[in-house]
Amino acid sequence: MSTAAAHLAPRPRRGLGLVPRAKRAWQVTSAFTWLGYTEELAYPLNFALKQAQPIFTVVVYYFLSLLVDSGPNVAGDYYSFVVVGAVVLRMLDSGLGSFSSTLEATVDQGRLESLLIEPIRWKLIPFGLASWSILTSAITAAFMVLLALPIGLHVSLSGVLPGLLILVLGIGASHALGIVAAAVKLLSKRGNPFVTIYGMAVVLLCGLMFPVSSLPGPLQAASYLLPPTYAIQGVRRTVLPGGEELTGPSTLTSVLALAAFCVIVYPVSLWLYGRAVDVGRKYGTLAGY
Amino acid sequence: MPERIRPSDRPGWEGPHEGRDRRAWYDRPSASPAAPTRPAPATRSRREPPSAPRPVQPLVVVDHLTKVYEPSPAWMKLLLKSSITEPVTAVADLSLEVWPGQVFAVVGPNGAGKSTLFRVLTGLITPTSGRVALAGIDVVGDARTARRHIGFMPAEDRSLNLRHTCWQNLAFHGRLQGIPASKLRPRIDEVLETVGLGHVPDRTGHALSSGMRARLQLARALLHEPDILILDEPTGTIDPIGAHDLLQLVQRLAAERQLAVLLSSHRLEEIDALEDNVLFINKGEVVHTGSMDSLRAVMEQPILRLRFDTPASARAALDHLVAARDLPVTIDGTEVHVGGNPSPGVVLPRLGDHLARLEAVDRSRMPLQELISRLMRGEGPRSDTPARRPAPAPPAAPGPRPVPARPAAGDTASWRGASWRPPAGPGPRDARPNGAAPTPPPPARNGGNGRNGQGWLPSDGSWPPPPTNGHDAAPSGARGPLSNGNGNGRGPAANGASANGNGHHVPWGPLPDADGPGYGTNGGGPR
Repeated sequence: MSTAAAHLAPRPRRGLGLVPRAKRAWQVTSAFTWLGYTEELAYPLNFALKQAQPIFTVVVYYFLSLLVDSGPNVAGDYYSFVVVGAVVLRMLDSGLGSFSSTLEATVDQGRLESLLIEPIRWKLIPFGLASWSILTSAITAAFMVLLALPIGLHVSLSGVLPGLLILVLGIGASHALGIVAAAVKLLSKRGNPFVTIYGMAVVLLCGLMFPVSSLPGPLQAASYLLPPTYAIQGVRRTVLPGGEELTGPSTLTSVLALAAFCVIVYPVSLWLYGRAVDVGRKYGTLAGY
Repeated sequence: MPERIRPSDRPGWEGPHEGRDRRAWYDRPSASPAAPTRPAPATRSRREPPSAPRPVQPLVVVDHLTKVYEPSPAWMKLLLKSSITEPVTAVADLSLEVWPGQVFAVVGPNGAGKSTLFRVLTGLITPTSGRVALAGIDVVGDARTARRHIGFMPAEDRSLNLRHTCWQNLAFHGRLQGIPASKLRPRIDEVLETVGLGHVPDRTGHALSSGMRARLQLARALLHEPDILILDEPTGTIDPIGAHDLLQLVQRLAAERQLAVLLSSHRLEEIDALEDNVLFINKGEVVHTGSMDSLRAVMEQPILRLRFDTPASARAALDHLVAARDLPVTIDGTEVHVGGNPSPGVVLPRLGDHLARLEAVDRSRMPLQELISRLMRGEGPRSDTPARRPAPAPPAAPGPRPVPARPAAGDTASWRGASWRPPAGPGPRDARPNGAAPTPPPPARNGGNGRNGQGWLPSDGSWPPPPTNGHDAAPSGARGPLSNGNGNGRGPAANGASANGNGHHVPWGPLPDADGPGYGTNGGGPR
């Protein structure tokens, strides 16, 4: 028996209770959220401009809607159609992009090592780093809705709750892909081809500005491989008055598809992230840039 | 892949602190009878009672650790370029133990493997083979639990959020460390006071000096009251006085709180201060471990310096000595240098009539810089024994280990601070191999015209003095990288002329790190 083995303690049994783990995860995530908040306040003008950005988006869509004929393909109201799509996509984008972008920023600032050394689960780090960005995106999305309501956004109040459920599922699926992006980022350090390609595909295929049914057949098929397609479509169907007339997947199909994404992709993405950490530890590139 | 160490390897193991509550201090009941056994300082009411027995096992055990960086696979090179084309051994079969209360310095040139060792200890890098146990926990198998016992201070202060205040920096990490909100505020105040930043809790990182940032990093490492401190070049960016104070603080904390401290350093005075606990590594291999005195005893070859009133007198004495005795003798102006470890009692009578022209005699020690440089060049014996030491005896009274005298302001050559110490009484430190006599103190060490206790050594502190007669010629301007005479006490890259600030060269070649394995030149790790 080696000397190190002779000095080893029996491995303590971990508290497997869900509540303690959730409590700890909350403690870590809230610490990161607080970090993001205080960092944001250190650059007040930048923070204010970021919050002002949705105003322009909502107004631009308003003037665009004046030029577009509203037909059954957009539930009779293009402005509501495009604003709901933009709000949903903003929420999903925050889950996907912020995981890798905040990780890259932390690596560049030389602070990742000090995080890795803390007694936290390393899988919590990307969630924690992205938490403030996700929170601000949610606030911004709500702000967009509040701004759009007086200038023409029509929403069915009865569909808000189901719409939120679909949105949560969509965010979950998007986060799963965000973890994959973070895993790639851990290895690539800079840039992220995964996020770039995925982002372009989403804008083109997921029906943000136009219905998916407008796309050619092969592109339509490709769009159904992307979770934002289901999230946008599902929220529109439930929230927009007359949304049930929209073409594309039904609400139930959207829910099932997003749930399947979460169940399948989440474990896979966490496994990939763990493998990326292991590779980084093996080759010594974990905390470098 | 290293074999994972299972609890079944050691049934019934009690851990480094028998019966110790292994929970973090903030998770323990304040008056638990099963409290840890570490003796508590008066200021740490949450710690165990003072009457408890001392721990008897090391907190850090590194066992035949080897880390070989393999070339990245092709798919990974698409993502991140790597310069490694063949396996690079960063750490080779390294063994080490650090005990509670012990401050252990890991010394070596850039690329020696220090940072790799620290990253393995902290779980950031997996070893190729060997085992590492921290506070009885396998780092590979249970890195997260092991990290609860570690306070780590990275080499760069970029790891701090410089836009945040001291308090905010600590609050963030305190939350990550799981300190409850109710206990976080008093703990932050306490640790800021401990490191001497209690008066600037609301100052942002950008407004702190380098020394204060280092202290803030130390505060962060101490926040969760770890058992083990791992400090990667903690004084790298600090002026000599600040570095001395920081080291003293670390030593005091280690003694008071029985922390096991592992630090890397390029500062010679720090190496000298930790003379009993130094591990020299080069290219991943241990080249020496143990006391500086044992190193000196093996490698040092003192010379006798005889200073005469005029160069002509010195020349005449030289001729006389050469004729009288077969000793390696050189001349430098008014000085005659007699090599071969001669005794003054043997040499002086042989001066004959020239003795009347003799003004001073000095038996100088090899500067630490030269000692280490020779060691790293492979001119010294390699240690065959791992860096394992018996548990240190409990100190008679708690207190910091001795540190060298605080350097004077403006002192540019850091090794000058490592002044000569009078021979101690009979004891292990006086043991010399082969019956060699202990090195006597230089007669004019603390007097004469020298600075910083250097006697009448040449003002650049070189040893032997720069040759003027062709002996011992060395590349001009070459200087060991462990020299530290660039005025800011920083790092190993002090090569070049006037490194001591007085225009003299130190005529010793650089350490062989320039052709190192090509990794880890700034914090370790392959790129």
